[in-house]
Amino acid sequence: MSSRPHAVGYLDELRQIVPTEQIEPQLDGDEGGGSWAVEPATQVELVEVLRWANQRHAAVFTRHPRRSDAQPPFSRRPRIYLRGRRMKRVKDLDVVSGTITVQSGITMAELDELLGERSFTTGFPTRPWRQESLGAVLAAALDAHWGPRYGAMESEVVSLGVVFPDGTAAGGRGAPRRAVGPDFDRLFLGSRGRFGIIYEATLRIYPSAGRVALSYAAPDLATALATVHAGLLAGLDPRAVEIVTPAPDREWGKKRVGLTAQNPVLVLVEPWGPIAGRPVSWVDDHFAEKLVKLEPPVGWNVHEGLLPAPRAWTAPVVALSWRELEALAAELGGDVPAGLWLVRCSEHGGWLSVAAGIEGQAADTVRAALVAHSVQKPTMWKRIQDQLKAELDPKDILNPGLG
Amino acid sequence: MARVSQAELVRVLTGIVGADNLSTSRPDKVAYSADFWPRAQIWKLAGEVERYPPDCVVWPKDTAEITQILAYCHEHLIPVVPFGGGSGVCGGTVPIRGGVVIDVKRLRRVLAVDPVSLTVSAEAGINGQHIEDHLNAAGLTLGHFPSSIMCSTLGGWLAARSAGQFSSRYGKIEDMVLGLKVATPDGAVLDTAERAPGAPDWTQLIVGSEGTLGVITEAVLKVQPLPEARRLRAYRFRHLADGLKGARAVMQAGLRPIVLRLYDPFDSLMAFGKDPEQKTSPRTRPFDAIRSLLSSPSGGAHDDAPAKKVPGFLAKRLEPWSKKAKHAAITTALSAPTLLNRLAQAAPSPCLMIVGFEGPAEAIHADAIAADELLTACGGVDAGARLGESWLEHRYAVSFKQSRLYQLGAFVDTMEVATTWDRLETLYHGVRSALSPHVFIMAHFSHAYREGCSIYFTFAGYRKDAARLEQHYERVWQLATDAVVANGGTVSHHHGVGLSKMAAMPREHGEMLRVWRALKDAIDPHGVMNPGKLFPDTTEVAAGSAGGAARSMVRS
Repeated sequence: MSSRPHAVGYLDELRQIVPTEQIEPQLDGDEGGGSWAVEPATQVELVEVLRWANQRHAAVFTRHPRRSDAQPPFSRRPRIYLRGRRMKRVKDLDVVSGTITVQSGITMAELDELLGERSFTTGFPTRPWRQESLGAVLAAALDAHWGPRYGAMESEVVSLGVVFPDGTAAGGRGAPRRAVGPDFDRLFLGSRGRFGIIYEATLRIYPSAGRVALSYAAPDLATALATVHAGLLAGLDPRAVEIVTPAPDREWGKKRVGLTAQNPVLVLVEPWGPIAGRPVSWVDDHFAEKLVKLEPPVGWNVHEGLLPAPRAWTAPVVALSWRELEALAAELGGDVPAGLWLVRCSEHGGWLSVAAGIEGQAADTVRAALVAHSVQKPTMWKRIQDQLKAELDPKDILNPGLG
Repeated sequence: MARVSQAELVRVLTGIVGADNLSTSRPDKVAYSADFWPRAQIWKLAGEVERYPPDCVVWPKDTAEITQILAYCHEHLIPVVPFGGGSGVCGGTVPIRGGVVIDVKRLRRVLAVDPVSLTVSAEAGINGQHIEDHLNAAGLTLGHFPSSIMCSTLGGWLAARSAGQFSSRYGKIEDMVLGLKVATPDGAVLDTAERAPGAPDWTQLIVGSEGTLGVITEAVLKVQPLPEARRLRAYRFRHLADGLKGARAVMQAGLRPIVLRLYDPFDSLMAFGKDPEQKTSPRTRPFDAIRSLLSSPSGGAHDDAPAKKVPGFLAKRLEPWSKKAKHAAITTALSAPTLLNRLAQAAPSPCLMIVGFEGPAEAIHADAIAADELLTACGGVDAGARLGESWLEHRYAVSFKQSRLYQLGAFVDTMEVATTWDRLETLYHGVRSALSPHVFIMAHFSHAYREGCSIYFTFAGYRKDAARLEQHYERVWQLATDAVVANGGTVSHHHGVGLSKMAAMPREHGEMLRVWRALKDAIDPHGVMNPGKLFPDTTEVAAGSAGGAARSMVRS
């Protein structure tokens, strides 16, 4: 711990807000303003920590400390690294409405286990995010593959509770749909903690799928895409469809799933099941007619045996329409790029990316398509985003340096 | 800032849109001084046909003209009110501070249809039925069918987060939109599809802003193939709770009906009145007079209930009565709403549910069987296909005139609220008990989703003179929104906020309104866009803020 008087004073002030065992000193420079990891256990403590940070012009980070934090421009400011792991209370599990309201510090694994015991799921693949908190996933992983498989992450959030940089808490009430102005929750989803800290969320929950009912292998991307597209247009209404091509070093995973050199593209289909009125055989008949059915069916965590870990997904995840996907497939021809992952397929398209470190012309073609369809340069919205930051966080205390 | 004279304003705007596309005539000012907000009808009852006339109305032909108008008004602090079809029922387009009304109906082109990716790009002023017709010709449908479809525009739908009658399957308009172009007061055109990684979803921060941030000029939306078949059926439930249980079971089983509507006992009674199998039932007779109250042949455009024509037998019965006697009967009944509501509540009527599916024939057959099993298990009794088909046939049979009740010095209005399934019944009873002493009230449940549903209340009230009627109207709305908030609902599911629900917004959003103030200051710092709407002005909330500065800066 730093022995500098002002840092000691800050620490004493923090101890007035949260118990000492919830404060952990972090590395700091000689001229530093003090650096601590703080674990609020309640919403009130979180509010008070942010109020204190705002008064002291501290820098509050929702990420792990970096060496560079002890350098200018943050070196002279007290630094707080917020940890949410003590805020993991389930406030309401509403099985009537199919929602759960939970504090944001709960890890995805804990949430999955909790819901799994009651035969529910959020639809998030949890293993890759085991140690990540729900708040971190909502705030940062918006455009990632590892979001919920039943829709875009935003659409799975019914409402959010947020603390603004000055410590003011705000929370919407849950409603299936509203027409009371813009959806303000969207400002906090995916903006990486720049405008406020998500302290709780109400999410949709679904009956557990258990295991994926159906999985198929296709000879190339074009065949896989055409089969999925035709199935969606035929009104099969599956709950989720994904297309995966394994990474080159995942031989064991490929063998376990049943993919071969002739049929290297995996198509995962989760039908609604017989309760929705349509027999599973309709979905199976459609896909099995054009693709090779894989037995036994695989689980949704199959991705970990086929694809690199989440940190390898540095390429943008881009929403492509069916026209754009079909154009890409035509350009690739029979050449199947490894490490490709298309998620959340709907009648309109899907979200595509390719893992980092995959070599070859096919992977380069996919990367070029992703770049061509992604927003790379700052847009006119950047000015508005900056103004919003200046209005909501005038002292720039929340995750400074993110832009 | 020097005030701009009316002549100067007209000169500049004429230079932008041309003389033929600008009006300062009184008929136009009257026409654009209000939308279908019932309170504006009460003003007219009091003799004020144009309480808030605009300074002028313009009809720009494209986005470029809109940006020029906005830039000029922004510079001179002149209020701007974007206007689509004018079918809103919340006063969202009433130019309460004068200024310029921008009618976007000349921006009516369908720009592109992609039948592979199932998307459409269109200008915001296109009429709802016209875009649907265009898509139908290509074998597609938007799946958005508000009862105002023939008199509302795409831009208006997006501005107010509209819902169509098939929202349970296709979602609300905000679920369909992929991107927007919005002209902002500084003369820029922002494209919400340009969402950089780590940036918020700008589309959903513009949708629902009711013209207070800019003018929506174009949108890209999802579309669907035209369905191969459609199937509708009706069910009767002895108790409302059973019907709600059935509706929830259907939605949470993963079925996606196009429509799932459950009428409360009195609303069901009205619907059953049109059923030949039911109309001869003697038990409905004591309620004929009550039914006639809201079965005006000219229900308002906002009414998304089935067309309510006076049944033939009722017309015959009332024929000999003088207009005066009818007037007296109705106003006397509305003067005693508690009694009337008790009578309606005691109506020995089951609750009627309409449920329908569309898509591939084989699939909807399977869906209908599954729904039947679920609804029957919850106490539903199959009432056949005719009522459902009748609902479908008459769903647009509204005349887009205000109800005849206004001619009697009464008002009729609707309130569409929503909440999650666990709170739905409490919300229904909470609003009913809050309003029953003051107005006649009935409701139906529609727009069902996995996690909740909307309730559509219709209520009618009466006072002897227009001034007291307006006070009564305001009081009723205050009580209604208080009851909704207290029972955990949202005060608007698809009509928007406008002026009518603005007072409830601080309670609806709480501190989240800070995001709004920041957005408003960032995009419309002079507060020229549709001032005084949606949320209380920033000037009223935070004195000194730039937002909301615009007043009518036009000298006549």
